[in-house]
Amino acid sequence: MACFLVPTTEAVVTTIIKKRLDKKEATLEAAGQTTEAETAHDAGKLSWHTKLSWLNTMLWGGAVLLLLEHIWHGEITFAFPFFTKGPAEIFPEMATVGVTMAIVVTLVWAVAVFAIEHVPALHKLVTRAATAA
Amino acid sequence: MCLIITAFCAVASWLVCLCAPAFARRLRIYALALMYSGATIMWLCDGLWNLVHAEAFADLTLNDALLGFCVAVLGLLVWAVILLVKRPKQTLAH
Repeated sequence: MACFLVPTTEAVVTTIIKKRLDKKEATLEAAGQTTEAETAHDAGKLSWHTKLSWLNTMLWGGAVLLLLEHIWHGEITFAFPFFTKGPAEIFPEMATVGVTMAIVVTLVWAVAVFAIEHVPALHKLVTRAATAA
Repeated sequence: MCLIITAFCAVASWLVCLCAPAFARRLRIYALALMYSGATIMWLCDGLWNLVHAEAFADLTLNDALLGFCVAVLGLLVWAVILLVKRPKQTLAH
């Protein structure tokens, strides 16, 4: 019904955080100071810009594809109030399925980032992919 | 079927990234793989909640297979838009 709204809300929040981070990085770069991306690169870690880009893509992409499924099943319409079910059914689904989706996607992302930063073979693989020409 | 098709798309995209990193980087296949992976995880959660509610984990009908195909096409369309929007900027930056 509206489960995808929870990951979408998380995607909005992470996108705002990423925009603010990018702005901060641009300010540091303009001032000739060391940016977080440079520090992370020197330390052999992933920058927050990269990490948040991955999370954003997973959340926005998943939400868009789920939106199509909801339209397909007639749970969402193009006319106000857009949902064919009432709040009594929408909110419990968001609280259960939606929250689970957001938590699991974030957990998978966190585990992937942790593994890439701490498992040398994975880090080498990602570095090779990022620098492939 | 929708979950299976999306999971297959995710695995296929990751395999392209693994086997042809230069090609994947140039064409932002990572974005496609991340999108399909995100959707697969979300549908897995949905399926698990279906089990909790004593319903079937996944829908194996032809209608759901068609939906899966449409989801795969939508993923490709979103990826094409990302490619069109972001590549010129990157080219200019370089």
